[in-house]
Amino acid sequence: MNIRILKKDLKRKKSINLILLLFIFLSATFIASSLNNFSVIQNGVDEFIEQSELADFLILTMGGSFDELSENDQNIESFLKDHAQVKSFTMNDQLYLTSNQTELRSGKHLEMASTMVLSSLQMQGQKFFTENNQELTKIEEGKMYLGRQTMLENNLEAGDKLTIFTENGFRKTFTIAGSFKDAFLGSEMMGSERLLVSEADYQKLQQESGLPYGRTYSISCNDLEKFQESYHNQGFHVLFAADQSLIKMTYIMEMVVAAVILGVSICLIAIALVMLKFTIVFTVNEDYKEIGIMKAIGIKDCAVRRLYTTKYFVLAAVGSLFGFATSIPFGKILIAQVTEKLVIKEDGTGLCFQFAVSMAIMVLVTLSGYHSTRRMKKMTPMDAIRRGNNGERFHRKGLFRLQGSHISATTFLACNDVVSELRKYLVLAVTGMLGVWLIAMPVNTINTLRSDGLLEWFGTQKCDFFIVDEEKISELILSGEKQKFYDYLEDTKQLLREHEILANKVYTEVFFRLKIRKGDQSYQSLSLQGLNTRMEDYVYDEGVAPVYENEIAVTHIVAEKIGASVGDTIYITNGDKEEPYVITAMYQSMNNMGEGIRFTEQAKLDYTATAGGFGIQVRLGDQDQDFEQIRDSIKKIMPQVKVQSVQEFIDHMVGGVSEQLDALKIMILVIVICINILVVVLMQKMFLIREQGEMGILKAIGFSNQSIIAWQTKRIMLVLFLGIAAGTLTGSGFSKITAGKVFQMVGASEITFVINPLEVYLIYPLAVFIVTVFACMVTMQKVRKISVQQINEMD
Amino acid sequence: MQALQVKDLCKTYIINKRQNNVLVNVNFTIEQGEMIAVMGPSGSGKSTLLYSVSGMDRPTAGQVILGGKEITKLNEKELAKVRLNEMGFIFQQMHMLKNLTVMDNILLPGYQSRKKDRTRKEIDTYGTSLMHKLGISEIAANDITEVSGGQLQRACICRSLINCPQILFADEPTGALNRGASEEVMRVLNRLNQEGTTIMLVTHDLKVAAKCSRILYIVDGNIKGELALGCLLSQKKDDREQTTDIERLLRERERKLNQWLVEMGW
Repeated sequence: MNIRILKKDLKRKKSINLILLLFIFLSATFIASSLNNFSVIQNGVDEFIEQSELADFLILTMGGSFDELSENDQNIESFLKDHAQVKSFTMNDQLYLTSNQTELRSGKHLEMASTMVLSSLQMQGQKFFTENNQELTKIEEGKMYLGRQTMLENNLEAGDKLTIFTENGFRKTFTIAGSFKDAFLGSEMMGSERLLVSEADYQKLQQESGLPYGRTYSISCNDLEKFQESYHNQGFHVLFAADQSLIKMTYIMEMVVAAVILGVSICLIAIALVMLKFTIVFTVNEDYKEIGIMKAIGIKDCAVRRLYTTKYFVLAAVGSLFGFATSIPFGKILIAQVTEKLVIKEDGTGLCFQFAVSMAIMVLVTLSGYHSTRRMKKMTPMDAIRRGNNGERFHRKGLFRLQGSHISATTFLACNDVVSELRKYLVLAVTGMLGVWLIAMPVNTINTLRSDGLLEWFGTQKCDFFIVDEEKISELILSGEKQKFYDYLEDTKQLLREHEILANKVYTEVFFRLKIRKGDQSYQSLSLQGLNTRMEDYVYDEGVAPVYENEIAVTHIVAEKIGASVGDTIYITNGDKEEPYVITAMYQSMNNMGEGIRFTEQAKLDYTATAGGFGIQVRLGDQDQDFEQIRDSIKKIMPQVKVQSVQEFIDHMVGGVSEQLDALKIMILVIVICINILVVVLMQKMFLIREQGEMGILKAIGFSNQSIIAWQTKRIMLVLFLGIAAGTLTGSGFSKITAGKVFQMVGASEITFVINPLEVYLIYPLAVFIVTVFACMVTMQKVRKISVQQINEMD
Repeated sequence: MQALQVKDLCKTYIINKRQNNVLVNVNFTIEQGEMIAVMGPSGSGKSTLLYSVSGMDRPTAGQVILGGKEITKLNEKELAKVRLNEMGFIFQQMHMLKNLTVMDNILLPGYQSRKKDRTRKEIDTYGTSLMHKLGISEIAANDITEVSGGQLQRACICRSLINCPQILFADEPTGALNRGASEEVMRVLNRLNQEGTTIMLVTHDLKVAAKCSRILYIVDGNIKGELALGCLLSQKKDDREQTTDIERLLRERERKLNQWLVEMGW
């Protein structure tokens, strides 16, 4: 009999059950795939680093040559040899290559993010992997492997040619063998990518090319913390030095996308559960006769509840199983971009995990269904007799009065219904609100990432564009003279002026890695000195801009590392001397995961220890000058340079995450619209059943079908408007606690989101609103089939 | 003048692929100011006839001409307009919208009607006067669950009258009421009829039918016979005299009606 009752119910409420099934299916698909992806990425980074045998601590240096080691490298080597906390370490030679020293078959230079690291495959202390996750063990002579990103940016394929040439006449053409995965320099946030060649080719390049030389130190430690403490006390001149945890953090942006999908999935399952409860309460109210009669003939509460729970179990099982099946390809699509960078094991555990998640959803939905049927306990045989009304609930329902109102009858009915039975519409309002949250988050993040203002979050000043000449920067770094930087800035300004590019200001930031100490707490931090800049033009959160040469500003993260605050005197090792500096201000930076010490321009820093620079920043005059024209002009006069717009620079710094989010934004918008449509269609289908009596009355007293549709649609419009308005008002807060956390992890603790009101407050909410209202109107067309006789279906 | 003219009206339902002819070539006319009762055994098609002639349901064939307008030819929108402005309908169950007060339920069709000659204030005043006339003005602000069945049915009558319809249809208007409330409702309907409202009602209650001017007896979807009882109330006599007259007259009409119904096979 149970099966017969269920079959009848499934048939009678076909579309309602179908929508519920769809919700469970979508929830299972999304939540299984995104939870799995999240865990895959999180564990995948760890596994990738482990499989790559990456050391505990890595140092990158530049300077000297293979046959005449720099003093700095000698010092590092002896420091590591003597250190008690160093278990073992390896040293690998490498060369630095800039775009201008490369040539593709097309005659163009290789487009690259910044200076590239050229290494031999025989490098100790790290393993590399092919696209197919096989360990790269051999590179034939004359062949070369490139990072995936460089291959994509330059439209390169295996078999293409790349020539490396230098000023001293060296020239060698390599055949590209393919792309490889590199745990250390693989993330876009690292800035540099690696080129791998055979040991023989590398030796030739090292001896003949004259490319700048450097080293990678891979250190395994007994106690990493103690080692870092003493390392930061040394004040070596390095390009980069970090432990594994910082390298893992560079993959954070990969997690952002998975986290967004996970957020959407959680909202989806929440909506699915609320919808389930809504449907059950509706069904129970609807089936008062059957339930009352079942009770009247002596069937126990639990048996009646079991009957209804069986139905939800069937829906949950079918939805979850289909969801699991779909989550496999869907999850693969979502993770595709990440698997190109990481080596992810496919041992079936992911599949088991996805299946377990789907089963958990099934159990959750069934339990939630059972819990929602508790209302049945209250139903008595009297409900069957008294048409669902047990005579006890006679409280006033309507809150507004039609008499004396000036709005149309349908608008009044809609408002009165919503206000009188708010709980009934809560699910739609919440869906509307969550939808806006989910859309606002990527939109606000994208707008923030694409705003020119973000430049200031990288510890630099606003500008109109960047001129990046990697070769020149390397040359200036190696020169060790501050004046040469000034000369370069002046020459560039002059050159631009000669070609009618009227730059108001031409400036740059020079990087150092310096040891900072307060008491016995020390740290080695990225430090910056702006040339041709004014200290008050930078943004500070606390204190005042440094003015004198012994004044500095530090980031909150650096201050925290050494326990310092504004007004404190700290000590910085600059060259051979340790000098006192006063912290006058604090600022935030997304550079190097929030590290930063800012010196005044007059501070006398040791330029032989520079670690890099952003390139030249140019601020144009007041005249309107088109950036693309400027870019073309500069390319003509300085063909070796890369001209980057502010946006391109930011994209490069954050690893193209805004593009990924852009694609995700469209997907979320589609999902949100679909969810809204499903919710509204489900609700309206139920209302069409539950309110057919009311609709019959309205028809009988002369309301046309259009008026009834208008009544129902206005109700949905009002609820949706309230939900969307609430979502719009709180959406920025949601962005702060989700995407804001990611910004916080990379150093920006108090990011101010750039909100495009037109987009966030109008276009997207309006799109959701219009489509949902349209769906409601289409669903309500069924009202035409309701006849006046159905007035007798009224409770 | 004819208020309603019904020509060759047919209504067929298809149930489980079987054709069920509920109304078969029904013909009758209702003059302006008449009060007609439709009687007949269960399943004879009384309610179907009422729903079909009132435009609540579409007949399968035939014509229904209401106040000179053939409503069977109207589209759904035009028909809704007719239901709103030109007729009133009273159901057996006192169906009202639960989120509105009694007064708001009464005013709702008035506000929905876009008759330009009435302001909302005038509708409010008219609604109040109707309630007063039907003796339910004290329940205006009440919720529909806070009043008695008789009061609620009188409120339904007020609602059906709010747009001053030409004709009033009633499906067993006293079917769900006790005797006292039934008499109250019928007194109201008689008074409305006396004031000029044409009424067509379906009933199986002899006492209700006896208060109507003409009875149509329907069997198997066709009108088998009709009985003219004449107008119950006379306006010339004073109230006291009239009450005594009516009681006597009613008994006489009931006896006559009963006899006729027996002849019809009731």
